[in-house]
Amino acid sequence: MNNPPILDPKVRAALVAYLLPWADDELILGHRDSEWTGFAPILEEDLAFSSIAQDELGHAALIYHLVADLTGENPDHLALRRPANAYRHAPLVERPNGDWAYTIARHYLYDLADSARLEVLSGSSYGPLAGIARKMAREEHYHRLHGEMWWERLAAGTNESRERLAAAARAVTPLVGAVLGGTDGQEILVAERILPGIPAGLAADWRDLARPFLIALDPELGRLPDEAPEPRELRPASADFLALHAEMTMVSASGLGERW
Amino acid sequence: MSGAGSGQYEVFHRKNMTEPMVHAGSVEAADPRMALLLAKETFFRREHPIGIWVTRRDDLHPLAETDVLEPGTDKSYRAIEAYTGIAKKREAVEEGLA
Repeated sequence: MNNPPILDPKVRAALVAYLLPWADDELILGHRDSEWTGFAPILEEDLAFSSIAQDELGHAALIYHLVADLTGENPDHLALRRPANAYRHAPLVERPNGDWAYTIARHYLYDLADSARLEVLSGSSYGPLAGIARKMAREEHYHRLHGEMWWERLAAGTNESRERLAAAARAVTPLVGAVLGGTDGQEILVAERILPGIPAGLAADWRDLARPFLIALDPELGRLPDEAPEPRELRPASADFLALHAEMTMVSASGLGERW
Repeated sequence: MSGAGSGQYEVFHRKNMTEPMVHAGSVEAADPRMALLLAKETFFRREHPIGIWVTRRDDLHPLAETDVLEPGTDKSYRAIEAYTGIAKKREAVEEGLA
């Protein structure tokens, strides 16, 4: 993506502020997903979930490249060389995997939020962003089918699988909205139609997608409060994330050099 | 995994509409939907077929008497290879008759 459209510095700064937390979400969730490689419930699922993890890392790479085109930074450095307290991902994606039900509930509800976002971004006035959003949406379709399949299977399986999924959904649902939270200067992006939607609208889209699945599990869970998500702000790195960050950046930081 | 639909599923795919469905392998799954979705990543991470089928292995009916598949006598006349060089053979026969 050479020669991206020239943007006013304020617009550019707002776009970078919007893209980085999203890239970090995809990277961290992909990393968590990849921790299942070799451990998933059956071999076939191991392949499928590892592939989904790779897709999420691929999506992170697309977004980091978009940021790099705007700032002149190195996309690899953006992904793996920042200090832990500079990452801006939502708390949802950094939580340890827990059991399979937690992993599925977290990933599926995130995917629904991501779908709402991609739907809107596919119509972005910033061509490179609309382009990657459409590419990502194609892969997300499979992720959604996969997540839906597991959600339904766990919900309709045994009492234990249903209880575990319900417990996981109770734990992660309140954290999903934050994925769609506003970023610095977002109103500029909305005005420019670079982001043709507002956080409150995206959150409502997410609730509409998620509600039927939550209600099927527990009617109480489906009562999603009709409120705009909290803005995405830099927060101190948690113990969970410090451990993840140390592992994720280990090779990159090992000084082996950058030429492979 | 347990349940009415769970078990081994046989997976078929085709590369384009002019090709027949071809067996790709088998997956373990709880139902046909799961088999289809897991087959995609199990067999088609690098290839990109235009369609996939799955069927429960239990729904396939193998012929038990495989001995009937073996020919009892020489049936090479049914194979194309048996007719290679047929023009030369005919010439030789015709020369012999002349």
